[in-house]
Amino acid sequence: MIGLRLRQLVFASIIALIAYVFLANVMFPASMGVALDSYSLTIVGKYLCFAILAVALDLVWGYCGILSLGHAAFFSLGGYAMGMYLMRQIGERGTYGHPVLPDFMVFLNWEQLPWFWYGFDAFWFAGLMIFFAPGILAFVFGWFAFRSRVSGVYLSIITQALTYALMLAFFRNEMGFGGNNGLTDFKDLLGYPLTSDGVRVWLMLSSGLALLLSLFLCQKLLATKFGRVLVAVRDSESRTRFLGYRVEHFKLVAFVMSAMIAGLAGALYVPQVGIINPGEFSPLASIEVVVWVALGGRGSLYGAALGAIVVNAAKTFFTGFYPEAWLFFLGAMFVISTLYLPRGILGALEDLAQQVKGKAPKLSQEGLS
Amino acid sequence: MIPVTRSVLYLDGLSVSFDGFKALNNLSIDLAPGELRAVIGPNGAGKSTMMDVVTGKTRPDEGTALFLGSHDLTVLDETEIANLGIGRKFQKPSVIETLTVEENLELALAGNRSPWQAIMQILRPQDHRSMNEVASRVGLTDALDQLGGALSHGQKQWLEIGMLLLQEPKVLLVDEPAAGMTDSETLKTAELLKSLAGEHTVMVVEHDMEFVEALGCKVTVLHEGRVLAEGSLPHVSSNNEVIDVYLGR
Amino acid sequence: MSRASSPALRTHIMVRVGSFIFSLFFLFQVASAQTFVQGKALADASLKEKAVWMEKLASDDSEEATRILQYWLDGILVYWPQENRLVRGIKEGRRYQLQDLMTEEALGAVSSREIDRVKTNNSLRSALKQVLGSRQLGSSDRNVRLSAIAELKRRPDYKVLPLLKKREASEQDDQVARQLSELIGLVLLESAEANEQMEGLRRISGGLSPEVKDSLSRFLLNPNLDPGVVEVAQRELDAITRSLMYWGIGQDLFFGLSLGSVLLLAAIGLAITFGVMGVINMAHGEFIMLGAYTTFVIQQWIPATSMWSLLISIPTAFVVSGTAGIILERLVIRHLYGRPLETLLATFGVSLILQQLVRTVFGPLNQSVVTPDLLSGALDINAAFSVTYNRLFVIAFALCVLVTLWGVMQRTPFGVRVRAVTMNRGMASSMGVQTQRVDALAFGLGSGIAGMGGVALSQLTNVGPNLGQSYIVDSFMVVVFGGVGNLFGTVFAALSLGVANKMLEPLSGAVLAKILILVFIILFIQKRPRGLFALKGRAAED
Repeated sequence: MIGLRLRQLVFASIIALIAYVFLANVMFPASMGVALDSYSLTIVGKYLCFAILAVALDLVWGYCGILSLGHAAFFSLGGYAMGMYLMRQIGERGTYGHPVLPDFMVFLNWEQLPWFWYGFDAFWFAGLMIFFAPGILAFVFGWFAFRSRVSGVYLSIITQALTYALMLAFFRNEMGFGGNNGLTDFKDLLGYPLTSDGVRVWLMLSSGLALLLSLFLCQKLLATKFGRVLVAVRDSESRTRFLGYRVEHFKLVAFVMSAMIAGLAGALYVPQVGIINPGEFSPLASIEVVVWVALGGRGSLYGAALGAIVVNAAKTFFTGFYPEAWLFFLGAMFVISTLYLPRGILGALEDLAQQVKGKAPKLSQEGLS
Repeated sequence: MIPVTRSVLYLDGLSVSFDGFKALNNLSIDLAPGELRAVIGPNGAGKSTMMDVVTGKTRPDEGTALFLGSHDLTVLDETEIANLGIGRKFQKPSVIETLTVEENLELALAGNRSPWQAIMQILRPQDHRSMNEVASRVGLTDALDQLGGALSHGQKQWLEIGMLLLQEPKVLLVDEPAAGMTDSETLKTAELLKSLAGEHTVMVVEHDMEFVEALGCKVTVLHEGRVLAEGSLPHVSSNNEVIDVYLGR
Repeated sequence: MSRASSPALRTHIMVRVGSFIFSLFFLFQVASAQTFVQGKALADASLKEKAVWMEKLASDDSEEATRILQYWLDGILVYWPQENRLVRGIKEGRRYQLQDLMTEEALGAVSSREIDRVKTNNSLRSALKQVLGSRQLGSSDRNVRLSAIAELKRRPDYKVLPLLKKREASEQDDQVARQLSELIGLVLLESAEANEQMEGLRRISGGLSPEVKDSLSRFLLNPNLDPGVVEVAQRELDAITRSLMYWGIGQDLFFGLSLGSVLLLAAIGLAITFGVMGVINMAHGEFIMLGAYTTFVIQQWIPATSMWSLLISIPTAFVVSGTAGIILERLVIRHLYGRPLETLLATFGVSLILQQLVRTVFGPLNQSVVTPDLLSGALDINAAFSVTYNRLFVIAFALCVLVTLWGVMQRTPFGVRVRAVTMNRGMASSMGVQTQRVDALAFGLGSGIAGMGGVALSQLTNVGPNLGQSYIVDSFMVVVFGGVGNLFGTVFAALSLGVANKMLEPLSGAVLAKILILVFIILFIQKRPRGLFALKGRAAED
């Protein structure tokens, strides 16, 4: 089946990329000149993080029909959790040289660390919060929303309101997350300086592995009966209820898992770009994720990952060469992918392959929304 | 106060109105254990609304709906009611179109329905056996790998009935099972439903009089949200009011 | 000469007093000759001594004294040792242009070393303002008098009381007289006499300005007050606090209503399109922006200060945004019927394109749309409540749109069709309603109203490419809160959200107010997933 082959192709490419970077940048001596430079490493690492985020969104949107317009919130929360750890690592090397308080707190004349910053000096704690902060938010939000059967566009709109409210909140200095400027000026991670090429390589490799892991786990999860219940919820929520499934619990589990994966993506993203600020919470950021998934092919985890990489490569290209044209292009992609590519690039390729083989096209998924 | 009743399904004085329109108007129906009952009535008589109330989709403005004499159906939600043992086949066939027939049947398979179980569940041999048995009973053995959406209308009806069987409910609510079926299929369906009665309690909503005749059971006629007549088919069809409603339109 | 010491100062003062008496003799003499001869002493005085100098000058009624005080305050009063007199010195580059104090005759330019500037500090400056203020009370320009009174109110000084009373007797203008009386009241509170204090309290009774409230609070801190006076003062203060609160609420309410009207104009079109077609149009905010830019463009052709320019903008914006809406419906939304989430995404794409289009054409910066003369300014009811005309216009405009729309929906065949499609598309279609045509027209209508909302918005805020984005989330909240397919619900939701926003602002700050509202809506929708005034029934369910 061609679809299966494309999936394997995506999977294999990621493995090949990881293997190449591992060999070229870690195993072979630099004199061979095959190593990726640090700029490319950061770019590729970023794309991989976005691909993880796309997989997370596809889990709930593609398979469970929950169109979240607030997934950037979970990504950012994971990012902030990592950022807080990195801030605490700066220690006395900050501009003000305070042993505990990050620079922005000293600047605001704060006397002591707010309670929610406790524990972030330990990596294991930050590591847990990367999953728990977005997970708990998703749990609380989802518990309320799904229990009251908020669905469809209503759910989309309130997820957008959620991320918008969080953005406004994080802009406030009083929140204790660095306000407008966010968290930045990181020095090192686990004792290794972030600016060194070695750390960049490992961060990129970790992102690649995290992507493979999330793809693998989601695929395994969707292959169980749980995955089939999710699809049933997506296609006919009320039917699933009458079959005796507690739909809200299934949605909640999927939503929380997705939020945690998004948090992981954010946590890997922050040390690579060196900053996290409230702009990451913007509704536009969330909705860009949706276009990655829509263009790649919703309902296909590999399509989503592919979409994230393709769209972001296009973004890098456009913002570099034709910054004016980027929004035109992005907007056009939204329209085209919804009008002409209901199943995304991967879906279109599959249909094409089917037609070439002379088979009847596979059942269109137009009905799902 | 909960009235004492031996009925499997006890509906008393149910009323539902939508923006002034009375979909149910003081409706009362009583189903004895193992009974097969046909409910007929013109469009808008309240048949689907009645099923909505029984399955928890719609809340009545007033009235009582009891299951097995003790479960108040007016406060439980769809999932709870389904898990108590009331299964429903919809008027519009609603199988999961993007899942295969086999997967649809698997979803319906009786058992623990928690997400955790769904993740951990591995089908046991007896599960496969019962799925295959039901598939052959509804004539879908050859179509197990087909997507639900690729089935014909009649096949979808069969699949839904099959799913209903796998749920092992105490009460089956079957909404227009014969729609889109050939005559022989219709008779087959009637036979199937008759065979289910006794072990299960079955309520069938149907337009097709031949089908109702084939069921050969007690008939309830609904009109404008209330019970117009009740009894055997010959009995109700000789009722003047029923004749007016059906012929005098 | 050495720096002026205290005995020297005393001598100067005596001389000064002498010269003051002397000058009274020549009250009607043309004041060209300089009479104030202690310039050097003034320039050399310490700040404390300068305060005494100022007091003395203050009691001098002459034009010269006024000018000295004014230039002193402005920092252009300099002592010129060469001629041993005070002159006006305006810094130009590194040199000072000197002018005669009275005649303003140019005296040539000198370097900073050749002169001695009479310096001030903040406390001197405010005292100077006071003194000058009491002098300006005699100005023939009522606005000057009013601003002088306002200045004096900030620091009521018992010493100016006689002057004030004299002015009051001759004041003709009602408003000035009222303000003056209040000022005298404030001044009287500074008195030690109980009967004067009582008169002061009587005079300020009902005053709502912050100065009145502050003076009263300060007055009550005085431990030597007569108990009777304290009682009256306390009652007065309570009354002021209470009415300030009421007026403050009134002001918030007014701001809230105007915000609510903007939200209403933004959301009502959204509610129509969402109600009729069940689709969320994410480009709706950009239609608002198009309307605002239409106003901007029209102002380039028709003088912006004329009301005509605004009045022409309204139908033009309706047509521009409405046409854009119909095009969007025909080209995109029609093909996505029945897939609300895809529609949401496609229209979001369109919104990005429109934003970038406007940015490319008009530039990324905000454009300022001029408010017509008729709408600038405000009706000041009192110190705590004023009605700005532009906000009043927005409220009235929203009301007009609402009434017109209601008329269209209730009374025209088109309205009936729109409502029919909203309630039950299938049924309407089988009854012969051309649902596609209704879709397109309803979409045009909703977008057109958004465009008119943009015109109204341009009177309140700057017009930029992100204008639509900042209102779209709020508009959604209105629709979600009010429920779909119900005009009344939308109106109620828009106004209550607008008012709630403005009411919360003083308590919690603007950003927190917004967050609170969003959180409220998120919680609300859990309770009433279909909004406050949702349609009931089977048609509304799936």
